[in-house]
Amino acid sequence: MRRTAFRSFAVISLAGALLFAAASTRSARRPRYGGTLRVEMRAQVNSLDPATMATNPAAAAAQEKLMALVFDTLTRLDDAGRPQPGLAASWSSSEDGKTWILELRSGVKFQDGTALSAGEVAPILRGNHPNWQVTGFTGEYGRNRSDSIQIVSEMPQPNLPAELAAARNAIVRRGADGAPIGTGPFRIAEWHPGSSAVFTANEDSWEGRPFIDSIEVQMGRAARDQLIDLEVGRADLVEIAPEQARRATERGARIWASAPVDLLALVFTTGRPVVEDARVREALAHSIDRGALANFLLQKQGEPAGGLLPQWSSGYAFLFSTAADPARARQIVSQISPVPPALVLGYDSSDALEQAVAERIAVNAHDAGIRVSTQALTAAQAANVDARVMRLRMASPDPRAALAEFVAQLASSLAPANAAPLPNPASPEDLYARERAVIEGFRIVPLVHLPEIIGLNAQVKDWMPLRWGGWRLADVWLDAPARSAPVGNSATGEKR
Amino acid sequence: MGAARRAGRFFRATFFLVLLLISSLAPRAQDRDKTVQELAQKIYAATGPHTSIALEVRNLSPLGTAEFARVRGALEGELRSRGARLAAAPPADAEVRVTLAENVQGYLWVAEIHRGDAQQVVMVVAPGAMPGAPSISSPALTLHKELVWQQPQPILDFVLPPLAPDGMPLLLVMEPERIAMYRFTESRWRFQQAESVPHQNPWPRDVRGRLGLDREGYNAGLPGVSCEGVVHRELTTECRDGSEAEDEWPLDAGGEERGSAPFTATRNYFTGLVTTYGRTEEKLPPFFSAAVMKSREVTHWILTGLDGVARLYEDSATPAAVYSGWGSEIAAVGSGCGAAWQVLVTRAGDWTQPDSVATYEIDGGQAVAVSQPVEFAGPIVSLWPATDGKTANAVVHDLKSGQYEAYSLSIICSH
Repeated sequence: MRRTAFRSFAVISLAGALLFAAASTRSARRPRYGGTLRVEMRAQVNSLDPATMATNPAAAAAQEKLMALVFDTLTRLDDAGRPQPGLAASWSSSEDGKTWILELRSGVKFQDGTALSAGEVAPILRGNHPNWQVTGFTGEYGRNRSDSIQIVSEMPQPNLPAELAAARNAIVRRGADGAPIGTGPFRIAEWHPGSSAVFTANEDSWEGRPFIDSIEVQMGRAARDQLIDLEVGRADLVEIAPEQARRATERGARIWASAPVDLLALVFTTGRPVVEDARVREALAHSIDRGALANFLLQKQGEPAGGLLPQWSSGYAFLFSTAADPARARQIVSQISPVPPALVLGYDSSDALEQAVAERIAVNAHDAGIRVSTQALTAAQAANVDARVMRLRMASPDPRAALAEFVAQLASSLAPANAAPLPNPASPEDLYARERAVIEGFRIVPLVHLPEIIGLNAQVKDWMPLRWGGWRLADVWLDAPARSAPVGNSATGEKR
Repeated sequence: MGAARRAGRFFRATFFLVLLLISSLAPRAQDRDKTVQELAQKIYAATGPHTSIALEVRNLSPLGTAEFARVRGALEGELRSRGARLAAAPPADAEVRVTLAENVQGYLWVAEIHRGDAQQVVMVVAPGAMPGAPSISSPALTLHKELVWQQPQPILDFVLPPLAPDGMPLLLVMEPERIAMYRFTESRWRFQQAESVPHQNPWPRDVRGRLGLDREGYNAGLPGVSCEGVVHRELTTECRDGSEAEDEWPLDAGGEERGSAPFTATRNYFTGLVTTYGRTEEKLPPFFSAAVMKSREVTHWILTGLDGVARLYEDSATPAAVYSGWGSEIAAVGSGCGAAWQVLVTRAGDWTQPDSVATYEIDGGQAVAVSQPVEFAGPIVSLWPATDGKTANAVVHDLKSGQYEAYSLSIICSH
């Protein structure tokens, strides 16, 4: 089953590569400047301020993508989840990991012209982490200036550089009106919360001006409308729902898929009498055919999930079984007396995929002798159902950071010991043990891991996102639109 | 004489390469052996002494077949050396399934140990993937590539200056923030010294640079900044930050400067103003790179425009021919083979794709392919004619390894 999933991803990747190749034969190779990139997304982002991060995982992921256009962090994570220099050029720590020194990059300016300095950065970190002692140092050596930050914490922070890469730790200066000002590659030109935005190139970006002049973002666009806009040339970059990716490819769309970064999971509500009987939860878990979810519902755009973290991140996901066991489910149900009443399974009313998964689970459960009814939910109704299908987004490619975030998001459904902070640092065995413990109680049932899928106009070049979904739009450039062939033949030239 | 020198360069580069491979692979193999020992120890601790073990090993990682077999054999040996008895198949005291997997940070080897009803899982983190060995094309190919150097940091350009006073080869590598000098001693390039390149303004996002050699030493051009220095026992550098100024970069043909063109301080292209020595200035469309070829009567210029079209200029600002479907990086080399001049041309596309270099000769305005393209594992981010005029220097960003690789490209006459 797993090999099948791997194969399907390989086929998709190959198809994607072929489409990329076919679409790129007109362009030169070195980036060109100019143009406006038109982006559409489903989520409605209401704020770009790191102080008000969205709680909905999809909205939070979209918010982070837009924030990355305007704000920088002290560090960044690379494709392997390792911290790399950002606004901090280098760092070092004491042996016990309680004291860190970060050297700030010189020559960086906020978009209002203020120089990045220890005096600016230290209060931001203090505000975000009241339990840290943050001190800024500035040294003058002739014409050279050096700014550094010292962070002291009571507990060892071996992963502090990775923590500083989180969007919530973006370095944001406040203008006189309280508006956030960043150092990133784009400036906010227009902002209509939840609706649209325009970003323009920051000519003074410390990493060099972006190649494109501006980015227009439309929010709250339905998946189907986004695909239509891509096909008719009204958009350059859109989100494609996993269940639509296959059809989009067949219709000639150029698509890119990240590594699986979303987890769809069945989460039981603590305190609901029907599901307080562990046998009911176990029977339902055994009844679910994850292979069918991945292969048919998601059109092979997902991987069956037995654990919380996907294989590419943890390396040990294969240790968790993803196979359905309807016979075992029926056997467990037969031992429950009296017959349990019908479970109410909720899903996000705005998420068609969650709805389809919930309905499929209800069918599987019915086959095992468990009655399940589905119910569309608004955020406020979550506590009124016995279980719900939840979509969780990996906060980081680093397995420890991602698992810590999952545990934090699921804490209300976990036993206190399983919701406790993870060891820091944590070995793969530590992480596996915690995942195993979280899943063993059947309060959380992983279902499928999903990639983020993007549809791209053929003119979009150097689309080099991080494998876990960071967009890096400052490196993208736009090729000249299709036009009639220039004078001369295509390969050998022609004398005029 | 020229052929003998080229052959010497080839064998020298091959020798360097073999030495580099040997020196880089040996420690990794040792690391892997340690990991096998660590895993064997954990399995042994879980199964106990004098136990019969039914061992299954499978590979879910990119580890090659040969390396997988080596790991498997080493693990069996380590377990036996600790007193375990390996059974060909169950039943045994313990059944152990080892999976060689990978996670986002490298290899992860996992052992699932079943003993009676008890199950235990142990894991070890293994050293990362082996770097792919750089390929050296067959000497029979007309266009030949030689790997000179590779590093994780971006390379803008490189040159091989004359030998050091002690007779050892030198290598200058230009990075965005420094110029580094390496000396070939004890069978490998060793870092010797670096000089920083000061600049007041941020570099363009696609920063480019050009290194050249002259009688006194070397010269370097970056957007808005020019440097000069001396290469001797030590590297000395003096840079001038013109900020917004557009410095003239030389345009060479056959190792001789045939003209110059200003390079934009805030972008990644030449402005299009071209000064041809012995002629007047010409205002041409902005361009990314130039291939300059001289003959007795006239100098031919091919410029790759920002619009993806390459244009041939001969004696006027009106293009004599245009070529589409080429990449933005081109360079002319005066190999002495065939029509004497060849144009090396990268492939169209973008930097998400592997690249290649094809060789053309210009005959009456027509570009005629004269070699098989040479493939690279990533985009060519820099291509300049070398100071000898007969070869070219290419920098490739390997998409798999992430390394920046410096290649010398040379034409070998067909027999």
